[in-house]
Amino acid sequence: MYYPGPLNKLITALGKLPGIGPKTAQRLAFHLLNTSDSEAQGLATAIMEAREKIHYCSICGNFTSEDICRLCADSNRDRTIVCVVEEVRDVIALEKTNQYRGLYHVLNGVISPMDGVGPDKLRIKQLLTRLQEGEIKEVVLATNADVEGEATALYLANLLKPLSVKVTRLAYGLPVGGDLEYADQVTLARAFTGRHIIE
Amino acid sequence: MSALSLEKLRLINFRSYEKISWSCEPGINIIYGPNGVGKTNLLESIGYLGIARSFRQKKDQQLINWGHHLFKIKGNCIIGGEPTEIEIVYQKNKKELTINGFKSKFLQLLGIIPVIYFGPDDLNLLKGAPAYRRNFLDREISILDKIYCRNLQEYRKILLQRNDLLKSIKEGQASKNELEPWNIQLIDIGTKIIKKRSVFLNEIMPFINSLYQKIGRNENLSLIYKPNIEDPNEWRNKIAINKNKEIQTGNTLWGPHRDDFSFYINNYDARNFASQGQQRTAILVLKIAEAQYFEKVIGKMPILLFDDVFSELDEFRQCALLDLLVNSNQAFITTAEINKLPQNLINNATIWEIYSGKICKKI
Ligand SMILES: [Zn+2]
Repeated sequence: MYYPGPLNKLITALGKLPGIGPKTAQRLAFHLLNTSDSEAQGLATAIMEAREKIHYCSICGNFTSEDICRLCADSNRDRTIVCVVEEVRDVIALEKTNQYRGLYHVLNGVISPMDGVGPDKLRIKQLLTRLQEGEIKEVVLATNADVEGEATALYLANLLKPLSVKVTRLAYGLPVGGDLEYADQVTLARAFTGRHIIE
Repeated sequence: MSALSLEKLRLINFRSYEKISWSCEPGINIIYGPNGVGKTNLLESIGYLGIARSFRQKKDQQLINWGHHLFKIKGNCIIGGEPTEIEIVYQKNKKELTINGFKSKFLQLLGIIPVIYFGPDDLNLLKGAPAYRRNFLDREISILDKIYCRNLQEYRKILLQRNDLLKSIKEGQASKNELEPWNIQLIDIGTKIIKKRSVFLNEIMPFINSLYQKIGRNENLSLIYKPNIEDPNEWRNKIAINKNKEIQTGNTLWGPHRDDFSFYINNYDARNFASQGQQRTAILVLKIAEAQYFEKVIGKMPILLFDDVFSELDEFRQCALLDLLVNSNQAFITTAEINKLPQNLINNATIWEIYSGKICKKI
């Protein structure tokens, strides 16, 4: 053991964060030790407060500090169209394009048998409930263009077929790998305008 | 036509080389030294610049010099008069590629430095398991066609996911109706792969025919594609009818991952009915045809990597290979016995000797 117990614990905790290797964890830990009390306290409070106050929107699954999120509450948005995405971060990517004025539905994942994720682990029931209310006329499937995103879109398209809603898919001429998050805004905007109906 | 040649190769901790910087020559480079001195490793590193993979089917981790934790390959090329620098660094299970100083995706690398490798193991193309031939098809078509390469990656992922799902269904952890999205993609992407393999083999045939006529003395060589399944409708039916069989085995039973092709000489399967000499000729012809086909499709003659193959060929076949070398921009030829190479090859080449991890020019 190179470090005293508490420091070791901090490094281990930081090292569990995504994208943080042992070296970065060590650097961050040293930085936190050398920073002022108030700054360190601020970080700790921010983490606890975010965890306490942020939760999933009861309608769409987006992050919110209220019961329903800013987007679902916005009366200016088009309530006849809902865009289905994998993760909250995809909502943000699409919002940045300023192209879309409808509602969202976050699945909270994507079908991937290798990771033990089947349709039952996604927020699909909640989507069906929303559709039953009858106001939504079009569902845009905006899962990523990789094979898992495509499998999820195909699964949903088949599931929604008996319902009287139009089901469309983003027109992906998207870059390799097809991660929505990494697509530039112009490409995303174009994918939106060119969306097509799934047979 | 844009000429392609490697000017400088730098290796760090790649195989037997801890650190070298080698300024090679355009035209023919002959590399000699006793067996085990690292001649093939050198060709392997040049090949790696072409496809970011080892043509010896080795894992990247195995390419690191013993006791180190990374390897680096850097090549400076002239392509149609333009200097191009490619660097690949592998460490911690990750590869990074930079092209002219810019971080790039590996798909962008394909086709920049096309290489053709020809070595003693290539007889496996004819005699070995089908996987060997599929690897060959996949590597060559990927160099020519980035979309094919991407489809391959997708197909492999679909197979992994689908096989996992089949097993989950068998164990009662998933339901059969979850298969359909994977079936659709399997057939969709799979059919694209099958079509491109078929086109590749068809398009390379004229080159093979005319070459084999010359070298093989009035015999006919043909490559016959044997797709495991071809028609998407038939495929769909097979999957539907044999659903339970696939679930029981936990395996995807139809698709291009089970393809093969065969060499036929005068309508006889060369694997069983050809002499050793005929088999060698067939492989030689395939390699030369590939080089000619690459030149036609991507507009540049690939860099040729010939690993200890001259000594195995008779004079007649050596001549055919020499013809190709004369028409190439750059070739790297290894040998353990330089006196076994044709004299007119030696006269037109730069000779290098490898010893104790260094490459020295022989004057
Ligand atoms: Zn919401």
